[in-house]
Amino acid sequence: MKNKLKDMMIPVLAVFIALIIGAGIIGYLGESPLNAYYYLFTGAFVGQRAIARTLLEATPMIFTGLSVLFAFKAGMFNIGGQGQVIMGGLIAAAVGAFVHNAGVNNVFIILILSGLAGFAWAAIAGFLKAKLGVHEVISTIMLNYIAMNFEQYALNYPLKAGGPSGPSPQTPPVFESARLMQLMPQTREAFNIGFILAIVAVIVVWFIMEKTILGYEIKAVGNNPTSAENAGINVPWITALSLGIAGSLAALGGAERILGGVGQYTYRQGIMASYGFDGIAVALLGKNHPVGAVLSAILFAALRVGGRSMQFNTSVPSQIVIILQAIIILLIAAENMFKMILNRKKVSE
Amino acid sequence: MSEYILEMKNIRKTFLGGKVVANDDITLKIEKGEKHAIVGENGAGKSTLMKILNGLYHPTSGEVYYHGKGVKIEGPGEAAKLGIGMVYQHFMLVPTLSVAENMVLGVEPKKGLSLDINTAREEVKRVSEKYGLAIDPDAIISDLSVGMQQRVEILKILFKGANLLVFDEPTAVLIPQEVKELYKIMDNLIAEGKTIIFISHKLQEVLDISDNITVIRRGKDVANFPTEEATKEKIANAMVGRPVLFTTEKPEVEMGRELVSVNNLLVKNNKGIIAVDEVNFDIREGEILGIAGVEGSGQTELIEALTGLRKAEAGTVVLEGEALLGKTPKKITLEGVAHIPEDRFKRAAVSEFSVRDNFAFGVHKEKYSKNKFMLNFAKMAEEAKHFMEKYDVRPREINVGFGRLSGGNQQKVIVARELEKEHKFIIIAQPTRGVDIGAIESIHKMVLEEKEKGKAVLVVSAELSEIMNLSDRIAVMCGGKITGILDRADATEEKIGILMAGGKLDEK
Amino acid sequence: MHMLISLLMATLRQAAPILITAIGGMFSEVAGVINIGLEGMMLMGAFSAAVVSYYTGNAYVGILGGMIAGGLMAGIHAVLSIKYKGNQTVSGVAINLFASGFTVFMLRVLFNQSGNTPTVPKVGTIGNVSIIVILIYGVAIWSHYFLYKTKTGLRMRAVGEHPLAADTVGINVAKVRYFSVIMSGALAGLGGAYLSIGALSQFTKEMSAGRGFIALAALVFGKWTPKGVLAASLLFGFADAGQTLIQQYVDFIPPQFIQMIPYILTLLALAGVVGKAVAPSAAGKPYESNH
Repeated sequence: MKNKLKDMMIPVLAVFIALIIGAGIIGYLGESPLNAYYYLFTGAFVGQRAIARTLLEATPMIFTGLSVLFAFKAGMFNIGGQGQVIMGGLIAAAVGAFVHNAGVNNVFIILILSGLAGFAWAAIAGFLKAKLGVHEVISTIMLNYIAMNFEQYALNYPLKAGGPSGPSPQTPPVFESARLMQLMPQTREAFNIGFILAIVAVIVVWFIMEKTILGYEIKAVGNNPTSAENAGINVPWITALSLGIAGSLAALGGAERILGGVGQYTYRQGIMASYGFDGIAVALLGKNHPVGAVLSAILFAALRVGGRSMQFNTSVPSQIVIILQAIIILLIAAENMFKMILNRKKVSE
Repeated sequence: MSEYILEMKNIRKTFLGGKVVANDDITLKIEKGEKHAIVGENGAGKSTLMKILNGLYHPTSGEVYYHGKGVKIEGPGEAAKLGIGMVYQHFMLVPTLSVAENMVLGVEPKKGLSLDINTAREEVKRVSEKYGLAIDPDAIISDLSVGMQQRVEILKILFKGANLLVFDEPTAVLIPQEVKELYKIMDNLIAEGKTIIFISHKLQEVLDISDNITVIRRGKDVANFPTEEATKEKIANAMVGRPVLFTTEKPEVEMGRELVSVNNLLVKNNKGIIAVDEVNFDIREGEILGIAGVEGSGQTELIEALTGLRKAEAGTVVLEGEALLGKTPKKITLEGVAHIPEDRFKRAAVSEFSVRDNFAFGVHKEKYSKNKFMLNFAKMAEEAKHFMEKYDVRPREINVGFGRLSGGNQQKVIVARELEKEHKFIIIAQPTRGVDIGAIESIHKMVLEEKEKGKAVLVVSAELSEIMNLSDRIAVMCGGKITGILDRADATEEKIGILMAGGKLDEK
Repeated sequence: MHMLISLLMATLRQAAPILITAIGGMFSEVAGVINIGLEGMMLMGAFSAAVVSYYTGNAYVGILGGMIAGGLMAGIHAVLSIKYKGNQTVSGVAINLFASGFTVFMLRVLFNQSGNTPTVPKVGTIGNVSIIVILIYGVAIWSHYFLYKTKTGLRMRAVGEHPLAADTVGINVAKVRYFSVIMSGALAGLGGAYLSIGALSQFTKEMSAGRGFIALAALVFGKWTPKGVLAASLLFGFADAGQTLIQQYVDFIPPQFIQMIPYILTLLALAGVVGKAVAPSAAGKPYESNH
C-alpha cells in the first residue's frame, strides 16, 4: 500500500512543479500568475458550459490514453495513436456522410467499423513486430505519417464535400442516424454520449486485464515473452492482437470527433489535433492505470479549455498550456530521478 | 616482512545502508607462490570479497595489505597497478572487438590523434610469447573458442603486470581437455613466480590442484586448512554448516516399455548451422537418461525441438505412439510432456506475477478457466496454497511477487508446477543451477520420485556429478552429435570426458 | 543528363539532414543509449538556428546555436538515461513532445506567430550546394575514422557492447555515454539547422516532419555503421528527391501518395532488414557502476 501511495505522489508532484514553472513564465511575461490561473481554472470547471467543454475535450484523450496503456501492458509502445485516430475518423465520415443504406449508416455499426479500421491500421505494426521483430516505435510513427498524408488526400478528393473542386477540405456532415446523442444540449457544446462510451471503455479494459485469460496472457507476454512462449502462449498472436486492440481504442476516439459533432458532424482539416500524441502523455501521467488515464485526460483537457479562457481574459498566450504539458511529460520521464532522490534521503537518515 | 603476499583483515561489506551484509568480518591470508582455493555456496560472499580485492567494491570496514603494506584499492586500475588481476567467470571481453583491441582497452597506445593498433598488436605478441600462450592478435573474440577466450583474459592481466591472479570459477565453461590445459598454465604461472587464488565450487578440483583452502559461509570465513588435511566431506560440511549427503539413494525401479523415441533428429540453430546432428536415443518408463556435455554442444536446441519451441529439419520424435515434431508447444504439453527450463527467471516464470499466478502459468487455460474467457482465481489460490505446503515453498505467501523468492524456492515453484501437470515425459535442464547445496538434495529427490512414478525423464546438466548421481544411462553430446551412451554402471568421469571432447572409447 | 545531375544533387541535399542525424543516433546507440528523441533535437536545432540567426544577423552563428540547442536537449536525455537510469524510450518520446510544444510556444512569444518565423539570414552556398551540406558530408566521412581508429571510438564501441568489461579496465562508462549522447544531439541539431537556415531561410512549425525517425530507420537499415548509414540515408534522400520529380511528371497520382513514399519505403526497409540487423548488445540497458 505504501508503494502505491508513493506511486501516486509522482504525477501530482509533476503537475505541481509544472504549474510553478508556468507561474514563473507568466510572471516573466508581465502578467499576474494568480490572475491567469484563476481564468484557467474557471474556464475549465466553473459553469455548465465549462464542464461540458472540458469533458468533451477529454473524451478522445481518454480513448487514446487507454490505447497507449493497453499496448504498454503487452510490452509495446504505441506511438501510432494519431494515425489510428485519423483512420477511425475517416471511416466514420466516409460511412456516415456517404452511405445511404440505413442498415449500415447508423451509429453502432459505424463505431464498430471505425474500431475495425483502427485495429487493422495498428495490426500492420503488430504483424511486423510479431513476425519480423520490427520495433513498433518506428513502424507506428511511419504509419502516422502515412495516415496523415492519406487524410489530406481523402479530404481533398474522394471524401470532399462538393467533390475535388469543392470549397474547402472537409467532408459533408454525417447523416442524422449516424450521430451520437448529445448530452447537456443546453450548453450547445457538442458534449455527447461519446464520453460515457469512453468511461465504458475504461471499465472494459480494466476487466479484460484483471479478470480474463487474455489479460493474463497479455501481461505475461509484456513481462517476459520467452517465458510466455515456453508456457505455450502464442506470442506473435498476442502481440499483434494487443496492438490491434490498442489501435481500435484510439480509432474510437477519432470516430467520436466526427459522430459527436465537434466539427458540425464533418471531418475537417485539423480536427484530430494531436490527440494521438496526447494519449502518450495521458498514459504516462496516469501511471498506466485506466483510472489514472481518465484523470489525466481531464487534467490535460482542462488545461487546454482553461487556456483559451485565460488567453481571452489576459494576454497570456494559450500555447503556454503546451509548455505545461511538455514539462509534465519530462518530469514523468524523470520519475526515476524523484525516486532516487526520495530514497537517498531515506538512506542518509 | 610478512610471508603473505596478501592479507585481507576483518573485511566487512554491506549494501543498502546496512540492510544486506555480504562480507561479515572476513580475514584472508594468501602466501606467495601458492594456489589458494576459496570455496562457498552461492551468495556466501566470495565474489564480493574478490571484487573488493579488484577494486570494484570498497569495503565498508577492514584493511587490505599487499606485500605487507596497507593499500586502498579504489578501482580496477589501482588493482592492476598493484599487480592484482582477475579472470572473471563471465569473461570481460567485448565480443565484437579483436584480441588486440581488448588487450589495450583502457590503456590504449596513441599515435597522434589515432589509436596505435600496431603497437597494440606487438604487445599482444610479446606477452603471448613470454608466457607461451599463442594467440592471434587480430582474431575477433566472438570467433574464438571458450578456452581461447579465457586465454585472452589471462593474457590481459599478465599484460598489465599481474603477480597475483584471481580466477573465478575458471573451469565452469571448459571441456575436460581445456581444463587440463588450464591446470598446466596455472602451474607454469606459479613457476614464473606468480600467486594464484581461485574460486571454485567443484570440490574435486579444489582437492586436486590447491595448496590451501578457505571456506566462506554466510559472509564469514568459517574454515581455513591446507589441502593435504582436506576431504570433500570436510569442505562441504564447512560450506553448509551440517553434514551433507553426496549421493542420493536411488530407488530400485523396474523400467518398463519404451516411451520416448528420438530418431535422426536434425536441428539448426539461429545462425543456420546444424546444432543437433542426427541424434538417436530412447527412454523407457521409469528411466532417467542424463545428457552430459559442455554447454553449447546442442543440448539447448535439442530441448527446444522436443518442446516445440524450435522447428526440426528432419527426424522423428515419438511419445507413446504420438509424433511430437511439428506440433505447437501447447499441443506437446497436452500430449504429456512437462518441461523445466534451464533459466527459470528468463524462461519459466513471469517475474511480475505473484506466486499464485506463476503456479498456474502454462496451464491457466486448461485448469483454471471459468468459462471461455475468464479465470477462476479462487481455484488458483486454493491450489497454490496446497502446492506450497506439498513442496515446501517458503515463505507461505501466495500473493507475494515471484521475484522476491530465493533461487531455491523459485525453482521449487517451477518444479512443482511441471510435476503437477499430467505428463508421461519430463525434460529437466540444469535442475540445480543457482540453487544452494542444501536445496539440491530436495530437488534431486523430486527427480528420483518421477522415476518411481514410471515417467520417462530426460535430464540435461553441465554438472557431471549431478548426471552421475541421477542417471540410469548417460548420453554424451559433443558438437551436436551423441558421441556415446553409457550405462551408469560402466560410466566413469574419464570415459565421459573423452566422449565430451569428441573422442571415441576403445572397443573391447 | 541534366536531369540526372539535378536528381543527384537533390538526393544529396535531401539525404543530408537524415544522414547527419542518423550519424548522431549511431554514436549514441553504439555507446549503448537508445535515442528516440532525435526528432525533437532536430526540431529544436532548426528553431534555435533560425532564432539565433535572426537575432545575431549571422547565419553561421545560427549553425552553432542549432548545435548547442540539440546538444542541450540531448543533455537532458543523457541525464535522465544515464544518471537516473530511466526508460530511454520514454525519455526520447518526452523530448519530442517537449520540443514540439516549446517551439510552437516560443514562436508565439518571440514573433507572435503561429506558423513560422519571419525570414532570417541564410547560410551561403558553394556552387549550388549549401555550406552546411558540405559540412555534413565531411562529418559523416570523419565519423568512420573516429569510430574505428581513435581511442574514444574504441571505448564507445566497448561501452555499448559490454559496459562491465569496460568498467573493469578502468573506463568511466558514464562519461563515455554522456559524450556520445550529447554529440548525437549536436549533430541532430546541425541537421535541423540545415532545414531552417540551409535549405530555407525560416523556421516553420513541425518542419522536421519525421526526418528524425527516418534517421532512426536509416540507422537500423545501415546496421549501425557509418558506411551503412550513409548508404541508407542516400536511399531515403533519393526517395524524397524523386518525389518532387515524380510529381512534376506524373500528375494523375495525387501528390499526397507520392509524399508517402519515404515513409512506406522505411517500413519496407525495416521489414526486409530485420533478422540480420543486430543492435549493440547493451543498447537501452542502463549501466549500474558500483564504485
